[in-house]
Amino acid sequence: MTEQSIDTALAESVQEVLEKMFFIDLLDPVGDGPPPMGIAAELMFDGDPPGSFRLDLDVPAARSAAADFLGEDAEELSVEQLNEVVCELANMICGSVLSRIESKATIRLSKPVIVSAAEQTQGPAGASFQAALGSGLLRAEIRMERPVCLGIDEYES
Amino acid sequence: MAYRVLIADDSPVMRLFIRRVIELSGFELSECFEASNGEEALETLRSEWVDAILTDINMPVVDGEEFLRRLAADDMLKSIPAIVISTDATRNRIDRLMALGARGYVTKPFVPETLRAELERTLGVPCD
Repeated sequence: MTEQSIDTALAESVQEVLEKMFFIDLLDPVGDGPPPMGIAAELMFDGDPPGSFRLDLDVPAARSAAADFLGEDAEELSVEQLNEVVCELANMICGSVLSRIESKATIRLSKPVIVSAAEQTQGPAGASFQAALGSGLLRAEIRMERPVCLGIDEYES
Repeated sequence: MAYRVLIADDSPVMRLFIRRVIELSGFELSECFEASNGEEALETLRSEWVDAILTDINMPVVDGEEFLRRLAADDMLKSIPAIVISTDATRNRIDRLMALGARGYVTKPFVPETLRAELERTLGVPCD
């Protein structure tokens, strides 16, 4: 598993989760830039290797995604619902990435929690994917404590 | 024929989404019960008969694995087919839950047709 293939798994997972569960068409990736500053969710995972996952969305992006997920009017959603949907989205993207890159391991995800959007996760940066979503931005980042041991052939099969 | 389904998931928005997806898929639902963990689900099953159970794994109080164990140990409830809905698509996890008694497994993300197909397969609904 190379850093590039983790990047690919992350981008594919974000796109697949949004397309299937949020009924949102493929996103346009956005290059490096300032991260979204609205709602952030973070979770830890055990596996081989363990690590953490963080999802940041601008409030308009979170509102748009939550409305699509729940089939409700974006303006009628409560802050609690927005937070729960962002946590669910983080859980699904992280699970999808790990299932792609650790398909033979047993993984365990912690319950996602809302964290301060202004407070960035400490430590070395991981693989990230940032894209436009509705009228806002989405950024997903996965950090692993050490390199994944699988070979690229196993990932691609 | 319309079916009675129980959804066990600790996330209220996920329960709402699953119910919405079942309806969007065209699966005929007559009644939909909800529980936020395995214990609540078992309490509901003591008073309400359902045709199928859709359950998450990671839940507080009684998680999905323990819920499946208790279902399998209950003579009244063990015939109700349980389908696991999870983000975990690893082979180890799927094998483990099927061994505990799950009759089906749907990995998130999924499209409405996938959930419908798994419900129909486990319920033995004849194909159109």
